[in-house]
Amino acid sequence: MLELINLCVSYGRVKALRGVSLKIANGCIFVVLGANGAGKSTLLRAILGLSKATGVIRFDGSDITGLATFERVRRGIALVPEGRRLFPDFTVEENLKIGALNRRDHAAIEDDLEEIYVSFPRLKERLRQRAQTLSGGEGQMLAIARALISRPKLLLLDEPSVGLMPIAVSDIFAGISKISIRKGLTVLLVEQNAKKALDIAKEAAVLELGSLVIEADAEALKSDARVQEAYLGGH
Amino acid sequence: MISSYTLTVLTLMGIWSVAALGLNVITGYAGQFNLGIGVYMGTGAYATAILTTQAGVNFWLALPCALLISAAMGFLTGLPALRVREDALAVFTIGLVFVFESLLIYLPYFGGPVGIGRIPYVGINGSQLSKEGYLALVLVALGAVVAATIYLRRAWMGLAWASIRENELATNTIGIHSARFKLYAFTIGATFAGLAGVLYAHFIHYVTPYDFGFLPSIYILVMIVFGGLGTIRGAIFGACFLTLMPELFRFIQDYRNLIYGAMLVGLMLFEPNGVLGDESYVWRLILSAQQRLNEWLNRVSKSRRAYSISAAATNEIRHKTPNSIKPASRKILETRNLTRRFGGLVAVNDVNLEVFSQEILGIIGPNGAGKTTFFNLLSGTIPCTSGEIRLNSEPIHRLSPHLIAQRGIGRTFQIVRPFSQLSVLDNVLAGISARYCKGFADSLRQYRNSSDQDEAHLILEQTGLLAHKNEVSRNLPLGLLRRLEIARALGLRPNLILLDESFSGLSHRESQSLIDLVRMLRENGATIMLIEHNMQVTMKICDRIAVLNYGNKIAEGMPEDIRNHPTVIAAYLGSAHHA
Amino acid sequence: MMLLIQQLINVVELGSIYAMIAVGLALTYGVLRILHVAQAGIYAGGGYAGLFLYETTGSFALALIGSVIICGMCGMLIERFIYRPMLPRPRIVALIASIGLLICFSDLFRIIGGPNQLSFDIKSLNGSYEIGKLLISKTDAAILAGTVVIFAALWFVLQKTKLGFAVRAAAQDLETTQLMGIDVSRSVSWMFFISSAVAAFGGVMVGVLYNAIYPDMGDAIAYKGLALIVIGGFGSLTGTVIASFLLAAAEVFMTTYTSVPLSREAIAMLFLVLLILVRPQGLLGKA
Repeated sequence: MLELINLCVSYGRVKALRGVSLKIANGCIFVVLGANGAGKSTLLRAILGLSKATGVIRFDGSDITGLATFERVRRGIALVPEGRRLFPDFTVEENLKIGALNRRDHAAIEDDLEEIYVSFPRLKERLRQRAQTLSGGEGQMLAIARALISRPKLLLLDEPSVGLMPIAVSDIFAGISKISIRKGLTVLLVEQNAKKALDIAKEAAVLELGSLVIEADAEALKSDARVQEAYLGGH
Repeated sequence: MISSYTLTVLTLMGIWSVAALGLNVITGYAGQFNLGIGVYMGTGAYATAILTTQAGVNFWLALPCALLISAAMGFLTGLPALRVREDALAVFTIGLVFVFESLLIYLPYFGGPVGIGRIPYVGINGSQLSKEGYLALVLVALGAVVAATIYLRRAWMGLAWASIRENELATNTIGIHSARFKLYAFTIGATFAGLAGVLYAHFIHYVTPYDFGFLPSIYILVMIVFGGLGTIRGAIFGACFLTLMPELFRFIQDYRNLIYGAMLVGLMLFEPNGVLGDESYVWRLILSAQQRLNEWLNRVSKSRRAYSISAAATNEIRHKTPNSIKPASRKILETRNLTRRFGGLVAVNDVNLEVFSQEILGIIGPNGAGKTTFFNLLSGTIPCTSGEIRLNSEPIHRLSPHLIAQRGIGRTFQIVRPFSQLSVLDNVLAGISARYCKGFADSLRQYRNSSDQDEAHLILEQTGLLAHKNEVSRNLPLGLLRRLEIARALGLRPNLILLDESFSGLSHRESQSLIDLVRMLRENGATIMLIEHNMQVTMKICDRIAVLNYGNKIAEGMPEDIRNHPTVIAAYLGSAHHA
Repeated sequence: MMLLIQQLINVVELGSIYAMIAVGLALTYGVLRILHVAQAGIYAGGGYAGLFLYETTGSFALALIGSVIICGMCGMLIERFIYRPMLPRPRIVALIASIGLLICFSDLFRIIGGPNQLSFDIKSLNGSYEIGKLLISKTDAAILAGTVVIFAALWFVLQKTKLGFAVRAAAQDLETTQLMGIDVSRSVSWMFFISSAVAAFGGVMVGVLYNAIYPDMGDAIAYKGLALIVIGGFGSLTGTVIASFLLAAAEVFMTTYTSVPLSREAIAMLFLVLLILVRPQGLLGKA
């Protein structure tokens, strides 16, 4: 589904990504672990073209390296950004609608919305409320719902657990896992919260200072001593 | 013999240069957008016009009075301007200039729309100055303003302005009261512009409200942007060129404004740094030529000596650092029920924490636990909702950030905030400047060639930045920028240093040497609090660790205790680690 | 009574004209953080284009539509070739360029149309309607009707179309708007088309209302427009519209009923200066 070949990103003289290559199979949940500043967000931003990168990005069989961000999104990549980035002045409903702005199958959108309300009933209660009034957990649900409503083939999640109560984190990860299995959605999740992320992942990798240092099966990684260090931020 | 026409053009060039240098102080040095510099020029011009024509005062007495009135105008208009920033400030100053123009027209004392005429010639010893004499007077004034500008730029005040321009928040956290220095900039810039107004009034001999309205204000702004914002050469070049331009383009007079406008658009598109700005094409050419010349000269003569710190100075400075006065394990900082709410979210909830001198205290917790908010409360960059903070048993939670910094709390930022256009050395000197920036007179002292240079070099040596001291800090890699922030904070001679994720994004080697630095700072007597995600680093260097989660302190203790604390493991480390 | 009604009509007309400029400025500022002073040049350009088209075609409707389209495209070009390359630069760069553009525009109009005031007399709008005891000139009626139409259209575009949705989203968060699969640069282009078109509409309206078009007719309104978006609260469209009508009311009533020693230009600025003293974030801005 997604293939990265030698992806590099620099901000001025700071090298944020130093040649990352990886392959993610269709329907797989892939987790990238790493400390703050390891380049996790940069990786996701580079995949979407928000950070200027060198290297090759292949998605769904075609090279998308030269495409603008919105074109990559239209091909079926959705990002749940760091810090949620909801539209604060829009209502919950408007935030969902803007996620579906490029779809023309209005009947199917309604079905998808219903499905989202079933998964996240709190959102339905707050449809007319402005997004800035939501709590952290509700906001994260909305950010995920906003990404899902575009019917992506690949969902990128940037630290969805930040600032959430443990129980909310579990809910959200369970939700992601369920949706991925039901719809065959491919997920790339970057996280610090390794334990819960590895529980739902199939494959995983560890990012350190812009390079992938370990890449393996999620189960195998759970017991890897190096990961024990890495997800606590060690070197 | 110079023709009368040439003399007129030259005199006007001089007058506009003075005005441009005034705006350069406000907008170029202190970074405050001002689109209404005409207010101050007009104040000076009208003041001298009224004093000399209606009160019959001699020019040489009217001049200082007019300058004082302009300065007062700068101060008074600067006060409300402190409430707004950037674009809103720009629009606010446009508002000021229109109100000013309108008051001149409609208030009874200023001669209405036709203004005030018959402003007398300037005389010396009873004899009237010739045109050549007046040009000389203008050039003397310009020379004085240039000298004053150079002096200010090299004084602590100039460094404070540069810091404000580069990063106002960081400026406050190194103990400089940014509002005060913005006001100084407005006052001094207004005085220079007022001088230009006085010279203008006695040259043209009559003044109207429209001479100092919005468009002239914009022309002055264009002059300094055209020449290169924040440089003396740029302000003078811009003023001269744009005064000369209408004369040069006399043959296509009909299209003058069209060309002028198009030139502005073109310049902003292709050389936004101005013709002679620090980053402009022409200036870089000049610099590289100068460098080649220097290299050639160096090869001819012997090389310049490197800066060295005398052993005596080193000792003296070491003595000034706080370690020598402090008994170990004294409580230096204490928070009681410290709380901060953002709307419905409680970012820091009822936190009680004690910090003892010369310890390294780690603050850990998941992302979003309120760690950075906690630091922001300690350094005063955001006010607390309730509770209190005591430093050496004195309450500090109601103080503004610069006062807290002056009491000895230094900090770094999670996302680095260096003064990017300044050199590494100047960044550290800016950190030192707080002690000179408490009063007006002190801040006028020169910061180059002072004993503080020794202290700055010592700090650079301690932090391993000495080799980079002349580099512009924008060009440094992240690892060095993090050190630079620490070095800048050390300029305060802080009792307590707050490090916000200083290790994140660093390579193994970089973080190892940063650990050594932190330990050395502690040996030298500082107390250190650090926020850190890297558990290895935290366990290695911290004496004690406090854990925050959802704004609550959930644990506090020795590293080993924290590692095995059940609540911490559940909330933060994840149960897998427990096994 | 008659006077009061006439003044209310004046307030509505003046307020709408201010709003036509200021809304575009607020949109541009909201999305790109640029103080688009040159908008006032487009407004004056609208007046000139309208007059030229009216004189060549003889049809006011054609002149209005033509002027609106020409100016809209002009706005698009300015965004594409002048503002877009300047986005990564410090903000003063775009501001100075915008001032340069405004100077260019007024000089261009002076060169083309001459330095003097031109008359914009629409024959079909002479005379007045009588409604009961009220006498309303046909010009006023046409302008009020036109204002209603243009604001309804603007409201429709912003609130009911995909483009408006995208623009309102971009004003909150440019980057995240791209993440929604929206071609933000295209939306911004169209936003410039719309705000320039509305400004041109305002220019034609003013020309007809005062029967005058002149080269620097945009100057005063350029700076008033900036004051209005600060008064309204940077980026708040509702605040900007409210501020426009408040200012119009203040100008109309203060110049008739009181003898404040200030020009109309200065009233807006005094408004601004006083407001910043008590409420730096503007009427509806967030602290």
